[in-house]
Amino acid sequence: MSAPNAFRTSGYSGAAASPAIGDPMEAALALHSQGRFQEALDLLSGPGEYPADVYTLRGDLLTELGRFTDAAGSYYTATVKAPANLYAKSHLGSCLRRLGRWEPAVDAFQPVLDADPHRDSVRLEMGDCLLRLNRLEKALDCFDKCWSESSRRQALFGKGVALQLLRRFDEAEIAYERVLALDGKAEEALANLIALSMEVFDLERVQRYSRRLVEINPRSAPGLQGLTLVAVERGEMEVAARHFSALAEQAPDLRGTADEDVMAYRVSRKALDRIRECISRQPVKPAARRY
Amino acid sequence: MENSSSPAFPIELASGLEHGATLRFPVTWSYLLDSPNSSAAIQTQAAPKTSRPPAARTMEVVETPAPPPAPSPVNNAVAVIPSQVPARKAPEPRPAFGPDAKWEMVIPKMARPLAARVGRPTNPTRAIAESPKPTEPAAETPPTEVSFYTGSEASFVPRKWKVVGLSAAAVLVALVIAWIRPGSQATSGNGSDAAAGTWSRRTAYVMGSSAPREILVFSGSDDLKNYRIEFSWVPEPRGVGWIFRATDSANYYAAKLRLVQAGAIPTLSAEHFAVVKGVEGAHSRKVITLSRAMSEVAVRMDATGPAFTLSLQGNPADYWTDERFESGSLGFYEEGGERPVLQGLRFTLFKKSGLQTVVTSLQ
Repeated sequence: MSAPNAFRTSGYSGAAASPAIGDPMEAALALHSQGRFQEALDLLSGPGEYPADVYTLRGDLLTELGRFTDAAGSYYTATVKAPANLYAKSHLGSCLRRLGRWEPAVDAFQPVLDADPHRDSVRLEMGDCLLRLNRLEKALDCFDKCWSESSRRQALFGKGVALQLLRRFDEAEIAYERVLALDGKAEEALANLIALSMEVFDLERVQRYSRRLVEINPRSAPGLQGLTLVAVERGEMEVAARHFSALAEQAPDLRGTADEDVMAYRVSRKALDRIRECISRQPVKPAARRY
Repeated sequence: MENSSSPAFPIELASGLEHGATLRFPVTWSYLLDSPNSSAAIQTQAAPKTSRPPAARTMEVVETPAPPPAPSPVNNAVAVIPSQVPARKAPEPRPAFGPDAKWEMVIPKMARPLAARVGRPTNPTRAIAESPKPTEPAAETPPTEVSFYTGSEASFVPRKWKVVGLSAAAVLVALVIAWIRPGSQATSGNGSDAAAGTWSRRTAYVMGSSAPREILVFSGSDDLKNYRIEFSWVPEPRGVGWIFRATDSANYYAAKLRLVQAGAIPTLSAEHFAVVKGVEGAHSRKVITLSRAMSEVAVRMDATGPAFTLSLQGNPADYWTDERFESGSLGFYEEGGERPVLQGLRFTLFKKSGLQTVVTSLQ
């Protein structure tokens, strides 16, 4: 979260902003820097009209305390009192995003990016909101505009997701592979690549990416699912049983029908029975297995 | 089917799995905002928090019989999908990825020789992994495509002349470019043939500042840790400011030189500061007196690990350490829309591949 000295160094000095409440502000800042958020908040919670800096600091404290709804309210007040306060605006957007209010979050992020188009952290958050709002082209544009090295991995990943949801699978795959080149242990990129390969039912790819994923994390549900379905498809029920047994240990919800918006593969009851047969013939110990 | 001998099979098939098990493959993007480690933990969960594929796509998978005999006369590899597979595919149209969609892995698409594309029989069976280059529709090959391998050519002679002609044209173009190329930029290095970077202008918002700061980032210095910046500066009150270890427009180190007092013994101020998450930290300022008036001051700054050294006229003028940013781009910044006047701008970049020296200008 925000650094405690952010207020001291950025014109947030309570003394400068409002001499009348200079002491509570200073004291709250000191408590904030010591991690005593509730006590700091108590100092700023009395009745009265405060300057924007106080509301901003209150927003920071409430965020630290996990009270995002209250924090959003405090940041919002700060932005009303000081419309140019982009710090409060960006944090308001972050709180709204955490609260799942994607549309208002985008509205909060947009002026921040209008003023400073190169705030990649804000852009990533806005891209997340746009993905959830299913504004995929805008999300893609958002990730494309990220420029910094520090955000490259996430921006590439977001681009991959946007392209995948736009069904531009070949481009999405390239984006994910670039993420994996930067971060070889990006499990979610591999999981999305498995889902992408499922879209075209490319078993070879499903197997390849699943193996990579399970090598990184032997308990990965997407990886074990991918290996299971490939084995079932190929009629290799012994192999399927081994992977399915490991998958079942993770206790994923394998029942019922899939949600409408999720790629799913249903293993028939008969196939399951055959898997059970295999397991009962040769009990396996997934923990001791190497992938 | 009893399962009593299988303790590693905890699923109750009797309840909820009458129609089999459902394997779900949602598209998720928690990696976008989480750290890689935390996103890894999320991946082990069955129902990740973010998922929004565009449409319903459930594959009704039925019992798979014993390993089927390979149906394809061309290939009998395991990737050949049984004949019932197409029926399981999602019914919605897939303009970009139909059943015969071509997969290109990481290799970018490139023009291939025509001979490689034509003449291959179309495999009626969907053998996904076995046909990395399936037959493409003729419409995909533009008739005007330049190819040295077109089957219409009867002999090697015209092809050879075409090669010679195009090679000569390429050499000519390269010579013309080299001749008219501006001499303001050049690179040299120890065997490094990296191209000189370009300047990109960005607006950096600084908390508490009403005026935005324009920064000029040298793109060839992305993600570098150690480098030397050298330039000649005409002392003036406006000064010259530069940035280094910039990860983005809200996180960077900056330094500034300014003429405080002109005269026979000019006085300069050298300051440095950091901008972290858009918040500008305290400025560390030092007053430096030059031994005599001079039209240009040779400025050099070395960034080596956490240590920074500023030298004027070859003499160390300031030294400080800061560990907040380990790497990042370098560049300059402007305030009030006034571009600093510099000469002899030179960057020495300590890259993994070796030393690279870039002589460039802000113009």
